[in-house]
Parts: sequence; structure tokens; C-alpha cells
Amino acid sequence: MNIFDALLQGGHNPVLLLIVQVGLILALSRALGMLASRLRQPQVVGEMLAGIMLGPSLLGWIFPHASAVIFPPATVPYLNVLSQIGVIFFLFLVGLELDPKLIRNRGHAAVVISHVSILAPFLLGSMLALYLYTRLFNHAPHMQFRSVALFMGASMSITAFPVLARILTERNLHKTKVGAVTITCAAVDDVTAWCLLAFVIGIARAEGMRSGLITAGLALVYVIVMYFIVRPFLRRLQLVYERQQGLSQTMVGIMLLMVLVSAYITEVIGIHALFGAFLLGAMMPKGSRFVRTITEKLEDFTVVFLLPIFFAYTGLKTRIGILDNGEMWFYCSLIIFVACLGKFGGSTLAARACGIGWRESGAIGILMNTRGLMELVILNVGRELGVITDAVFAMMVIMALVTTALTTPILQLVYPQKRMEEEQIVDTGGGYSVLIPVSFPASGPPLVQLANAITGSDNQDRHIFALYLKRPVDRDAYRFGIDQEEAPEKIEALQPLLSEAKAHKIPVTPVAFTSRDVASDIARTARLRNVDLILMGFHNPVYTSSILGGTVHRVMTGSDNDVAIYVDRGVAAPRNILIPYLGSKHDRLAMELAGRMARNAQVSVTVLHVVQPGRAEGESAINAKAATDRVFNDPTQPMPVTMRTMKGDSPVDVVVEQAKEFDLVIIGVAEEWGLESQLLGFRAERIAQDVACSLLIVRKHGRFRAARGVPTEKPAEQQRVGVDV
Amino acid sequence: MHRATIVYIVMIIACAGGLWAVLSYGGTLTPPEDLAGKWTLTPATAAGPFIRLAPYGPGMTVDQSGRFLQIAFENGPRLDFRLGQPAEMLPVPGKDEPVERLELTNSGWILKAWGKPGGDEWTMWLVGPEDSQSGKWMAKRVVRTFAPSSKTAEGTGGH
Repeated sequence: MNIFDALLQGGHNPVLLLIVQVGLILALSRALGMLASRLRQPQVVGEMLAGIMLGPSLLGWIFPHASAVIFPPATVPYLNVLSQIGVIFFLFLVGLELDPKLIRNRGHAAVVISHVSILAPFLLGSMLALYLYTRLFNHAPHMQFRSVALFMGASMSITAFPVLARILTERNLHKTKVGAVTITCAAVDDVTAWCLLAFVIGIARAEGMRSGLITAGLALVYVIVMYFIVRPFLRRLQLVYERQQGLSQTMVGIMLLMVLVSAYITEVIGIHALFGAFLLGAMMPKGSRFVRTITEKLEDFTVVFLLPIFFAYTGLKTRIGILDNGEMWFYCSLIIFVACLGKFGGSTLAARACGIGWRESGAIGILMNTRGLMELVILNVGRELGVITDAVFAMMVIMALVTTALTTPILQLVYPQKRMEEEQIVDTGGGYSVLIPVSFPASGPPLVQLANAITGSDNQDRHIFALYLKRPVDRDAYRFGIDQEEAPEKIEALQPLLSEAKAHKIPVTPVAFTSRDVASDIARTARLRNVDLILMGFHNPVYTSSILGGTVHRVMTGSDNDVAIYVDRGVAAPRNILIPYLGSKHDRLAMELAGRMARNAQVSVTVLHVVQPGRAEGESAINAKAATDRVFNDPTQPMPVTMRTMKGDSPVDVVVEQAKEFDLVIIGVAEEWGLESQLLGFRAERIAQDVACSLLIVRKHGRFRAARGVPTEKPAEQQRVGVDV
Repeated sequence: MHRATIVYIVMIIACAGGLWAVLSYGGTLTPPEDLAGKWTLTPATAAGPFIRLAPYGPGMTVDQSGRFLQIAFENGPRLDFRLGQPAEMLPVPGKDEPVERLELTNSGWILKAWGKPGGDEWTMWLVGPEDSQSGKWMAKRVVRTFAPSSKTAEGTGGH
């Protein structure tokens, strides 16, 4: 008895075996899903691969004995039942989140593109059946040409709406024209494809014209009943939910029962259980807390537990090994080619014909070519009906995998991020603008106060943006979530900042979106919004005590805009500012910001020039004075600027000591302060840790502003400066 | 008329016409005979001093995807075959219905089969690289992968 036999008690205990099977499926599915995400692929690609790997294509091929022990044929029906239940509830969720708003009032172009993106692949898929029918299909009862052609057409025209929505959200495309058109098309495709599939199933199962007409008639009656009887009942359920202020277990039970009954009825009618589940979901009242609660109740178990079993079941039935000759791989390539030609080509040409630019049309076509999980659902239906053979099933699974995996890289090629960003650049005019990324709600109020002091309350042209980046959660992979995105002004994390801004009449524009890479997206937003300064708080990274580590470090080093990190030590409105000066461009930015605050908030500024013993102080002192003159040259400057020169062995000690007299220290990053990365990225950061007052650590970039032709430094003019040595 | 509307109408007409043409022409096509399923083999020729028969059987599983077949003999090899030539219809003396003759090939192996189209009883003659790998059987299909009557098919799986 080997290890597998021992673990599974020789397969005599089916419960034990099922637990091991499901555990293995879940572990591999999550692992590959995460790996796919890291590779910037939709998570579903990893999960599909996990399923295939557990089947005869990999595990059964490399370790046939282990495969036979873990997945003996006798237990596969158990997995099938679990996977079918999973897909039924998944289709219910898909219907549940199908918002008619996405389809209504989206203009001619979206309607045309969506219909062409179904019709073109449908026609090409049917034509491909002409070629493949005598090569890959059998003369079997359910493989009549009519059924095969319609099935091939339907399976080629599917688009994986949930995967598509995830890609759009992650790339922040969903608010662009390309995103809006694509999401509408995908929604229409979804509804149409399931109706088509129901039709094809009806045809395939029908034994004669009479039987087919009866199926079609019953299906129509069922849809009418759902619309006129079940839908009003669901609205009543929603009212009960609202009255009860929650979803009771009885109501959850009623909903689950309704899903099963609806699935049962459509299965009996002859158009498959999946259609019933989808239809019930589509009939649910949309945009309500009721639907969201039901989704939350069902989603995790369905998506995390049941769907991987579906992938594994699909994988167990997928035998890529049977494509063992060049001819088979030629047919497989042909299927992939025709699938892409129909979906990508059809959508692209339709978009172009509607007047959308070539590049955008191409992006729409690529996105519509995503098939993912939905394709697998359709293929399993086809296999179960006996409309397709195992070779065609394997080829189509490969096609689903390839078209889904290709979406992101090809989209990046055709519609690069940079290009998209160029279209999204916002002209903020000539006023000073600040971007405040907010992670912790409590950090918002002091940051907005500081931004107010920097930008000036009298300045009408100023812009302050409050940015909240939502981390993507796994469930988004299967959710539409596009139109349900929370309005930025309602986001909880921004509320303290917005309340503070409202109380002090500070104009703030909230911005929020989903981000996989927070640091890059902060830098990108700053670039797109044309801001002068990124002003952010800090929080200790998980594994270190560094202030300038983690996201803060990445923003400081990766941004094209000036960055200021605020270490808040509890002074609401600073009156005395200290600027330790070494002569770098970062110090000049510190002076510039202090100058702004001096003008706008009537604060006093002291420039501290630290000289180490033994070093010539004459020239550097002159430079410091000249820089101070340049910045504080405003004749309306109400507060005198003081310049102080101190000698000391340790500049850090001098600053820490001097800072005791001040409310705020604005300091440019420099190795001397231990604020720049040294060997292996190590930073002493003692100055940041030991200074008792609040601290604003600034880093000058200015590349972006220079490119825009905005002068970064003003011409030198005389300014009254008191020198205090 | 709106540009999008014109595209839409053209596409609808093209698709409807194209689909009609595809279904009309496709209706005349016949795919390879379906042999997928589980079979039982009964030797059609008795072994003798000069006739050595392959000791395969009594079970045989056929996985089929159109022209591509994988045949697994119980107590014998698992062989990949390809349907080389189109099926021939041969008249049977004294009978109205002809029988279909199929010839499947693999490197070194040939399987010839005769039977009624759509039927479950066929005569199969396997010619292997050696005499001991050859044999002739009466084959009877006991399980169809793509069953005609049930609404779903879940048998051995096609090729």
C-alpha cells in the first residue's frame, strides 16, 4: 500500500475520498489562481489550468496510479453533482447581477457591436462545423448537423462577462468609452448567448418538429410566468427584507428553493437547468441591498468552494492527450483562429463601422474575445448532451483557455496603458494642485488642512484631490460590480477628510477606484490629474518600522510629481516652520512649500543651515541665503523669514534639538538626514523618528512639470531676510 | 438612415442568409459511422494448428471523435486508429439493406469492420504486425457513448 492508498484507506471510504479530492482541488485552484493574478492574468485562467492539471491531461498522464487512486471513475459522479449545483448557483449569481441599465440607453453603437459580436462568431462557428463535421463528429443521434452547427455557433459567440468586468476594473478602463461600450456589449451577449444556448439545447433534445415546438412553447410560457408572476413576488420579498432590515434564514431558504425549482422546471421543459437559474437571477429586483445581501450570502461558497470543483470536473473530462497528431492540432488551431476571427474580427469591424477609432475598436474586439468560465459551462452542456465529441471538447477547452489568457497581454499591446492615460489627462488649469491619497480614514483631516495651507484658501484655481484606492477582492473576478461601484463621495475611508473639508469650506474632489498596485496608481493618478504635489501620510509597513518604507517609498521613488510625506504629531495648524537646508533640489521644494504656507496661512519660517566643523561655510551659507531669497520674494509676504546657521558634528542632532522650538519641520530627503536609501536600501531615519514635532518629508521630482513647461523655480529677487547666527 | 442601423441590417441579412446556406448544405453531409461505446467480442474463427488468434477480449472499448478512434481491447493493446477511406456500402446477396465497410489504419495495424449502419452488431477483423496479434470477432455493442434515446449521454466518452 503506497502513500495514496494509505491516505485514502484504499478508497473504501467515499466520504474520506471526497474530502481529499475537494481539498486537493481547492488548494491547487487557489494556488494557481493567485499565481495567475501575479502574472496579471484573470484568476479564472489559473483555476481552469488547475482543473486541467488534475485530470488525465497531466496528473493522469504523469502519475496514472495516483490519479486512479485519488479520482477513481466511481467517484467522479459525486464531483459532477457538486459541480452542477455550483454552476446552477453561479448562473443564478450571473443573472442576479445582470443589470438592465447596462443594456438600456447605451446608444446605437453598443447595440450594433453587441449584436454583430454574437452574429459574426455564430455564423463563422456554424461554417466551421461544415468543415469539421465529417472529420471530428460521429454519426450519432444527437450529432445531427443542425445541432452541431448551432452549438458550435453558440459556443463561439460567448463572452465571459465576469472576467471581462474584472479586466476592465483592474485596468481602470470601465469608465472610458471603450469600457462602457464593451461592458454593454458583454451584457447583451450574455443574455443572448444563454437564450441561444437554451434554443440549441431544445433543438438537440427535440425528437422531431412537434417536440421542438412544444419545448419552445413551454419555454416561452415559463419566461412569461417568471416575468408576470415570479418577478412581482420577488419584489414583495424585497419589501419584506427592507421591513425586517435583514435577510432571515427563512428567506435565504426560500431563495435557494426558488433557484432549485426554477432550474428543475427548465430542465424538465428541455432547455437545461442552468437557464432556469439564470432566468430567476435576471428577474430579481436590481440595484438593491436585497440583491447584494443574497449575492454575499451565496457568492463565497459558490465561487470559492463549488466552482473549482466544476473546473476540476471539466479537467477530469478534458483529455488533451487525445490530440496526439498534427492533424488534430491543426483542427484545434483552426477552432482558435475562427473563434478569434469571429469575436475579435466581428466586434472590431462593427465598432469601426460605427465610427470608433481603429485602436479603440481593436481593444473592444480583444475584450469581447474573452471566454473564460462561461465557455466551459457551455462546453459541458454540449458534452453532456452528446452534441460534441471528446476531441472537440478538448479543443474548445484549449480555445477558452487561450482566448482568455491572451486578452490582457494583447490588450496591453494594442491599447497600452500609456495611451489610455494620455486620453485621461485632466487639465487642472494654472492653480496649484495637490493629490491626497488616503489609506486610513483618520489621516485625512490633518492632510486636507495641510493641503489647504499649501494651496491657499483665497486661490480659486487650486485643486485638491482626495484619492482612495480600493484593493481588488477575489470575488470581483466573478462580479460585474461595474455600475455598482460606490460613488467616491460616499466612500467611508474618505468621510473624515471630506467632513473636515466641508467644515472649513475647502474644495476637494474625491477620486476612487480599484487598484492592484497602489503605489503605481497613486503616481499614475498624480500624472493624469496634473497635480503639483502628492501629499500623503505614512503608516508603518507590516515587517519594518520604517516611515519611508513600503508604499510610501515606492511613491517617493516612482512618481514623476513632487511628493510630501506628512508625519503627523498632533499639531493642527502649524505656526512655526523649520527648514533644515543643505542645498539640494529637495530642500528648495521644502522652501517652496514653506513659502506657500507662509503666504497662505501666515506662519513664520526659519531656514536652518547646518555646518559641520572643519568645512567651509562661506559658499554654502551664500547659497542658502540666495535660495531663501528666491523663494521668499513675494512683496506681500507678511512674515519675516529667519535664517539660522548652526555648527555641529551631527547635523541630525542639531535639527532634532532645534526642532523642539517648532510646530513643523519641512525637510528634503537627503542621505545626511538618513532619509535617502543607502546600502541595500537601508535608511537610518533617526531624524524622522526623533523629531518631536510634526514632519513633512519632501522629495522633488519636477520631471512632469518641466515637461509641461511650468517653471519650477522663480527668478531671484531681493527679499528681506533676517540672518540669525 | 443611421450608419449603425445600416451595419446592423446588413449583418442580420448576411447572418440569416449565411446560416440558411450552412444548414442547407450541412444537412447533406454524413459524418463517420459512430462506433463509440463498450463492446463484447466473440471470436468468429476458431483457432487451429495453422490459425493463431490474438487472445484479446472479451471486452472492447471504443472512444471515437469522428475519424479518430482509440480502441482498447481487454487483455490486449490500446490502439489509435484513423478512418482512412470513406466508408463503402456493400450489397449483401439476398438482403435489401447493404452493409457498411470501414477500414481503420494505424502504423502496422488495420481494422476492418462490417455492419449495418447505425447498428450494434459488427464483424471486426484486426490485422496486426504479427499473426498472433490478429483476429476476427463478432462484436456486439453493449453501451453506446452517444445514446440515441436518453436525453443525456454519459458513457465511455468519445475519443
